[in-house]
Amino acid sequence: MLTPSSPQTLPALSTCDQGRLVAGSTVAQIAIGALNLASVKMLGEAHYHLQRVTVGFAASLFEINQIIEKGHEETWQLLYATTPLTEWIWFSVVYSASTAQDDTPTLQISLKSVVSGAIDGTIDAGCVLDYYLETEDTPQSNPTRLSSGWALTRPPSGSSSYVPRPLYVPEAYRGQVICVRLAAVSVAVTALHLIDIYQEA
Amino acid sequence: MSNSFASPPPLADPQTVVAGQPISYGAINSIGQTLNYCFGVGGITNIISQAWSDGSCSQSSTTYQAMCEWKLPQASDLHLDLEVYLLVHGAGSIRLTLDFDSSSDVQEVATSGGNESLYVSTLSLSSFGASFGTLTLEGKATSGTIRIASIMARWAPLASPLPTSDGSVMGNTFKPFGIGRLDDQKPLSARIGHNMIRDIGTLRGRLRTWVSWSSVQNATYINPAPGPAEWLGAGDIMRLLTPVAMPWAEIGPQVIYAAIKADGITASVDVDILGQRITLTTNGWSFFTLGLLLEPVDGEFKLPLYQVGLDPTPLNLVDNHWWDGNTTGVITALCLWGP
Repeated sequence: MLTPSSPQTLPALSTCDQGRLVAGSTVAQIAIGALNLASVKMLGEAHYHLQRVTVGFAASLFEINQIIEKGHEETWQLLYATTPLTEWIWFSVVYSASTAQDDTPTLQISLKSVVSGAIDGTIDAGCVLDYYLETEDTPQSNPTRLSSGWALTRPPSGSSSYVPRPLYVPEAYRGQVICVRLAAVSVAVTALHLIDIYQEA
Repeated sequence: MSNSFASPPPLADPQTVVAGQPISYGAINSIGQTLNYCFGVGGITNIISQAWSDGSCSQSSTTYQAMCEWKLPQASDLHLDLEVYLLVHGAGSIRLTLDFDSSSDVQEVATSGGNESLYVSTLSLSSFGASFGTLTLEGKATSGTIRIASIMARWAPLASPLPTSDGSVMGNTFKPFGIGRLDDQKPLSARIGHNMIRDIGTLRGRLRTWVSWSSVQNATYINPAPGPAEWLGAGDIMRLLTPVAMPWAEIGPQVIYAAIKADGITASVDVDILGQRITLTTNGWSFFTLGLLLEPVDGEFKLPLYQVGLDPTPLNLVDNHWWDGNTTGVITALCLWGP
């Protein structure tokens, strides 16, 4: 069914007063309001700011990241509370990628389950991003941003894709806390934003 | 009369209740379940999200040190349990304090060392003294150093059926639906229509967390001296810009809430946020209500996408001296929520 993406004006309370003939449009407006709430507003979202070290100062005075050393690797495990209607997750990652040390910058983003209070197996192998990363031939650079897009082009096959795509949450894990794993080589990540993609009901 | 709901809920097709169609119990029952679901489970997602690199949130003191602090809104007055997920490396303890004015809880999490591990703690309130509260994090080490890698918090979703009492979201009443009363051969009273309209309005006011950033105080600097952010520097402003979907942006103004914790204020500090200028005059937390004076950024998401946070204006980037430390006041925590 067609789901309105923005909340519509609600009918006046008086349209449902005792003794009034309730119009079809009144009930339809209520149904649209409930549908919009569940399918659009009440989805999940998370915004992680990955605070990096501030070498020599008590704050990050400049946007530029610290030097990416030869062989630099980093892994982030970030928890995300999905909703029962979560299916595809849009992501936007803020990062700096350096080729100055002759490394090939790579960033993998995937989903893992959380079972009995521990991070467990992979539920979506996600994407391995290399060619899509914007790199600089300097060890320090201003962060840039890459997003998954929201086009649900194909279901995940169990292996990683090499183009950005939304992350997929299998039905068994919807409504649970899951782990978004970022594994980076020669990349410094500074933020990750996650928003459930609204779909027609 | 059970205030039950299926999860995910059955969604009523608006096309089945337009003019000329009989109002069947199926659609009304689905709307009732959907609203119960939205109150108990809908939008219950990350309320605090933050992570730190390279041990920049570390503690080696063997007595508790206050380190981080966030503001957070209630999901409703019936969501009383806050689940906090911590990824920690090292042996020590984390003490979490949740305070909503007259109601609070304190929990300690013992960490066992070894590899980075996940710890989950639930803080429970008996009631709410305010719509917004504070979560504070203290840390100590048993030996060596504990390193906190990330924190996530969410309100525990409510299971079906909802409690029999009315709820409230940000001060507005929610009346749950006894689903049996919405069944076949039951009268469709005026009250049901009134409550549905009011409940939708109430649930539209549930806040979503856009920014939850805390500095790290009293931390241990790990050799070779990577330090934590003790206040918000000019370099954080662009990093804290957060893309958020605002489906409601096209239909009119709604209230956005900002909570800013300041320190070292000598007179006052002006700050540009969401296209508006606010003034910090006191140390500690200050609350602001804001409108949306921004334009959408691009079409990379399916819904209107806006970048929210502190504005990268000359005032914030240069004049406030958050780039050289010669400042007359700094921000030590920033939280932002929208509907």
